[in-house]
Amino acid sequence: MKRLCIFTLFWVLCLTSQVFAIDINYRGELNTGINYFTEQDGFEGIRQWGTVSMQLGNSVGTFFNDSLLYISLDYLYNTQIDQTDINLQELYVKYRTEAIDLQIGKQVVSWAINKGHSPNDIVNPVCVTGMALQEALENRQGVTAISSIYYNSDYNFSVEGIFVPKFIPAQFERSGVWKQIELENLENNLRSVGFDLGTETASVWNLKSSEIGIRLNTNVFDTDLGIVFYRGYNDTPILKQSIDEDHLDLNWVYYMQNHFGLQLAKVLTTSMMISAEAAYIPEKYYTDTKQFGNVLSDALYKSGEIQTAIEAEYSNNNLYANLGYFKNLLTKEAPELIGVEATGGLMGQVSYTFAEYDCEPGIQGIYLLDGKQVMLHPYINYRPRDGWELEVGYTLLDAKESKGLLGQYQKNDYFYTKVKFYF
Amino acid sequence: MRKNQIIMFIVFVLLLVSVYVYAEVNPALTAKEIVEKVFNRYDGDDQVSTLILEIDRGTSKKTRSAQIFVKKTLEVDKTLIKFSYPPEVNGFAYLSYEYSDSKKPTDQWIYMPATKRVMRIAGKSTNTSFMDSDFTYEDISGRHPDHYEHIFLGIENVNGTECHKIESTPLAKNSSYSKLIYWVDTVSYVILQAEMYDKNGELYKILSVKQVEVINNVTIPTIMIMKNVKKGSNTVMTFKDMKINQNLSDDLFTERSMKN
Repeated sequence: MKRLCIFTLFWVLCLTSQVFAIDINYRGELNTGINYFTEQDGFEGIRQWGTVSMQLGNSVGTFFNDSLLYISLDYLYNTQIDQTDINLQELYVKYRTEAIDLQIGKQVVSWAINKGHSPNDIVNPVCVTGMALQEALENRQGVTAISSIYYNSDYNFSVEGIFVPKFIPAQFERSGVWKQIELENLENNLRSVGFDLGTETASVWNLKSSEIGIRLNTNVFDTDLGIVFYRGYNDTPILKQSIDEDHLDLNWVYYMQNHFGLQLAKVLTTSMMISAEAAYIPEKYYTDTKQFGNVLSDALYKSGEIQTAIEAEYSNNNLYANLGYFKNLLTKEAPELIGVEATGGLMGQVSYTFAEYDCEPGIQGIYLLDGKQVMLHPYINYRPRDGWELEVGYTLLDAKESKGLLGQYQKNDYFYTKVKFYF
Repeated sequence: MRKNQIIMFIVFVLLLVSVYVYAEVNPALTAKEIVEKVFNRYDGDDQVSTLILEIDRGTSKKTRSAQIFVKKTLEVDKTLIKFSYPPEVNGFAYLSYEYSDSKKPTDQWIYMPATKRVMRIAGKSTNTSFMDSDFTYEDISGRHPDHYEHIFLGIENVNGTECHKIESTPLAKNSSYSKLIYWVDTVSYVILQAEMYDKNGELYKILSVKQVEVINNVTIPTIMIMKNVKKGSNTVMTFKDMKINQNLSDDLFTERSMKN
């Protein structure tokens, strides 16, 4: 039903543009590819996939001054499991005044300065593993929110604010069924979130756990400066020993966090720039929930976290290189909670463009200090003609143990080919 | 008496020839002064136009299209480029602030609609190809007279237009070229033709201006062809619907404008 509504909305917009001669700006991508998994015990064999992504922008100046209705869809068809999925990435109205942009609806908000890992890109975050698992959707999913940006060109600064409302709590049972629960049965206004690794995330909303954020951007002494504050809920999966101590149970801990962030970027020379981000979360409240079985206790644990990331970028002629180092530190130890631990690593990319051949070979890589986890992704990108893009590559994942952000995918190395058509 | 008249006539002719030769060898302006007139030639406080690049590599042909906004002040030249074709770059935007203080690196940003991010980028070096064409950023940005040594080579005719012929040698080691030869219109000081020589002294590229228009009393080349002699490729750069002195606001040259 949801897919039918989205498709109907999409085609109504297209038809309306024809009938009423409304100017619609659009861009889209048609993606298809084949992944060949080379190792056992993981995904095996060949997986074919295809996506269609459409972004439509329509000026609705007839009704509002300088407004824009924007919609972005992703259609994914996985041939291996014969599964289709339609995601509404963004659907929002944008209203502009002389100094303020206001966006209401499902939208993508990016607060990153770093091009690799950004601790302050927390509204629509991109997982570090996204570089390794580039199967289908490359664009991030929007969040339903009200956002606004105030620009002041006289003093060269802007202020961004965002409000993300949350509604209706629900609970994910182990049987796989979602069950709505009453507010008064929720403790500490926490929400429970079901998360099925690798497939769908079902978000659960609570009006009292709405999120707010603000970001100040300016330039001081030829250095870009960003200051971030965000208050919201978050969750993380952890492994904990079962009562009989013979296996590990997957549990979920939820926390309310205040996030303070700092961002800096500076161009050093014509070819080189550096950027750095830091984030401080004073306290994360980790607690076991009562919604799942085998809960040992109502232990409440809290720990602060400091996240840092620094990058250097070099660009000269057709050569591009980017290298970053990131580190997450806990201010207190959390030995009982497996999965809650300090992380850190290196992330980088090197590529060279052969413009006369429309070809760009390159390599991306991640190295995580924890567990010596490695991801390497060499590729060759070729643009034979306008609107077409071909890519072949290989993703290698290796780790000391089969756990962690990358280690869990250790047995999933794969070759891939990808064809993209832009329209 | 008649003999004296003949002698005086011969002397007069010789004087005329001498003056002409002297003017030819020693023009009223020096080579550097001519190049300074080219560099400082008024081409508007701001410009708006549609840029079309047609790139022919022999085996393939590509087209690039973008809207270009330029605003020039004493301290900084601001450029905003909004790409519209090919489809893979539709919606992309590029913004740069190039400062008159040569010690200050150029500030540059790009906007990618797929990621909804405006990103500051490290510089495009002057040797980098502009939009995958045969033009480099060095070719399309102004060449400051102080960064070259100049020699006047004479007066020549290019397509019926009298031109100063100048040879310029870059002082910077990172230039792509060992020397450049210009043909500069003696009236408008627009470069009508140029030859670029590579580091080995061999002919590398040829620039030809095919169309010059006068817009709001400003003389602007609107069709140029850059031919890469070594690769056998060429690029036609066309500026369509050019408008000069539109009182463009500084707000246009901001990150906000890149997203909208």
